[in-house]
Amino acid sequence: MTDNEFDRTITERLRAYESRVSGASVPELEPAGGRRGASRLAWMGLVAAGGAAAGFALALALNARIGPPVGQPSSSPTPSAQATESGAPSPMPTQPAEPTSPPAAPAGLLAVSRDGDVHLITWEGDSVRQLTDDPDSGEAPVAWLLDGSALVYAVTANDNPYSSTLRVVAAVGGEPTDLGVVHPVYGAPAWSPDGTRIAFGGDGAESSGIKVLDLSDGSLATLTEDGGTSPLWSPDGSLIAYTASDGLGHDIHLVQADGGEPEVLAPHPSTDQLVRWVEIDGELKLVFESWRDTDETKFAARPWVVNVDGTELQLLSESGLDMDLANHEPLSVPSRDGAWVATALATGVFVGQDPVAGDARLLPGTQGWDLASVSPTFSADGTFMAYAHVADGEEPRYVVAIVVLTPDDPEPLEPEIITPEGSSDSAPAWQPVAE
Amino acid sequence: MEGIAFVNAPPRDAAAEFEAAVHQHYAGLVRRLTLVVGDNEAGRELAQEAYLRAYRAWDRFDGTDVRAWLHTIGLRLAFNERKRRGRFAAIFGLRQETEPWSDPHDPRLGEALRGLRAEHRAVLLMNAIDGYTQAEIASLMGVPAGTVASWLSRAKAHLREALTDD
Repeated sequence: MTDNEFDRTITERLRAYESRVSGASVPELEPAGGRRGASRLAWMGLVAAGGAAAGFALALALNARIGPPVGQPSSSPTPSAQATESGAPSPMPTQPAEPTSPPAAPAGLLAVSRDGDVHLITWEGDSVRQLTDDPDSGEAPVAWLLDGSALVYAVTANDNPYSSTLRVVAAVGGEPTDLGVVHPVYGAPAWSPDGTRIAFGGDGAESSGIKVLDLSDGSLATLTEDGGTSPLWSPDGSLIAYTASDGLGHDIHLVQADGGEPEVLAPHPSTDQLVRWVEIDGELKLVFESWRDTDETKFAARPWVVNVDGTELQLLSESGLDMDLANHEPLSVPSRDGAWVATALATGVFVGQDPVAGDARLLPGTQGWDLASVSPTFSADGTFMAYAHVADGEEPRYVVAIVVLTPDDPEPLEPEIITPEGSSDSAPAWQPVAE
Repeated sequence: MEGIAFVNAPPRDAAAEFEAAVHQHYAGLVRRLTLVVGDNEAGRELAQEAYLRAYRAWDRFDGTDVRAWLHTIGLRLAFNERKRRGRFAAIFGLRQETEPWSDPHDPRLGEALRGLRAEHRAVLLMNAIDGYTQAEIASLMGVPAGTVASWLSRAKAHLREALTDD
C-alpha cells in the first residue's frame, strides 16, 4: 500500500471510529436561547487568502522595528555573508549575479528523491543517473559536498521512519559510503555561514540531538544527545541555537558549534521556538516565539528577544497575529551569490532579491508550508531555483518545479513542474558546479 | 446545561453570541478530547473546562476559527491534565480509567490508538480528520513544526505497523 493509499484508508477509518466511539455518550450542549451567530472568519481561510499579505506585512513591520536578521541579505547583499545555498555551498563566493535576461539553461544537475530513490535529473526533469535503488527504504538528498562531486543523502527504512542513516555517494555513481550515523533527519539541515558544515537534529528512537557534519572531510560531531531540533547557526558560525524539551515544554538552548555544555536561555514551562538571530545596537540576540505568560485562551505565541547570555529578556510584541513567525525554521535559504533569498512565512514560501524590503513573490503551491518541506534550492549561477510542493490532481503528488529568477519582475512567478507524470519528486538540491 | 457553570458571565448579548458560536462544536470536542486522553470521563470534564475558559475569554477572542480556538484550549488543558494526573497517580495511585477504545467495528484500530502517546494521537487526528497542515498544527498546539512532523511520523508508522495485515 502506498503512503497516499494508507493515508486515505486511515483517515476514513479514524473518522468512522471517532464518530462511533464515545459519540453516543456525549451530552448535548443545550442552547439557552439567543441568536445564532454568523460563523466567524475561518482561520484556514485567512491563511489561504488574505493571510499572505497580512503575514508578510507583519514580518516587514517586525523587521522594520528590529532590523533585518543577521546573516540575511540587506538591500545590498554582501557575498561574504551569504556564501551558502541549500545544497550548493561555496567556500569562495562569486560576485552577485545581475542577469539581464534568463539564461538558456542553468548549470549543474538537480538531486531529488524520485519515488523514494535519489536521482540526478536535468533542469527539465529527465533522470540522468539513479544513485540509489532500495525498495525497503526511502532516500532523500541532504546536501552536496562543496565541490559538487558527491552527495550526502538520508536513508529511512520504510518500517522505521524514526531515524535515518546518512550516506555519501559520488555524483558519477558507485558504492555509497556509510557515515556511521543513525539519526533522525527532520526537515532541511542548517548550513553554517561559511558553507562548510551542516547541523541537523531531531528526536528519534535510537538517537536524539543535534549533530554537525563537516562537508570537507565527512566527519560528524555530536553536540547534544538528549534531544534538540531546529538548529540555527550564529552569524559567525561559533554558536548553534536549537530547541529542546525537558518534558514540560520546549526551551531555547545554545551550544558552541565545536562542542561544549549546552545552556538553556530564559527557561520557562511553556513552549519556546527559535525564530532568528538579530543584532540590535551591536549586540547579538535571539528572537524566539513563546507561549509564556499567556493562558490557554490565547490563540498565538508572541515574539520575545533575549541576549545570548540569557539576560535582557524582552517581549517584542503583544500582537496575536505573531503566530505568523512560527514557520521560520530555518529563516531563509540564500542563493550562493547572495543575490536571492527564499524566505518562509506562515502563509507560504517567498523568493526575492530582498524579501525583507518587500520584493518577494510567492512560490505557487507553497501556501501554509514551511521551508524544510519546500526545500528551495538555487542553481549555482543564481539564475534558476527549484522547489517542492504538492500538485493537485486526481492523485495529489509531490513534484519539483523550477522558476527563472529575473530581477525587478513584478509579475507572479510561473513555475514549471518538471516531475514526469506518474512520478513523485521531493527534496531537490542543486549541484554546486556543472558536472 | 450540563456541567457548565456560567459564573462571571458576560452581558446577555455576549452570552448568546458565545452560545450560538460554540454550541455546534461541543460534541466534537468531547469526542476528540476523549480519544486524545483515553478516558471518557476526563474527555467530558476537559471539554466543559475548555468551554468555561472560552466563555470567560470570549470578549478577547480574536474572531478567527472558533472551532480551532476551542480545540486548542481543550488540547492544552488535556496535556496539562495528563501531566497532573501522572504526578497525582504516582502519589495516590491510579484510578480506573474508562477507556474509549473498545469498538467492535474496528477493534484493531482501537488497539493501535491505545499504543500511541496522547500528543501523537492529537496530531494524527488533527491532520487526518481535520485536514490541518503540520505548520497549522504547530501553531495551534504551540510546539515546533519539526516536533509535529516527528509526532505525526511516529503515529503513522505505529498505525501502519499495527494494521499491516488489514
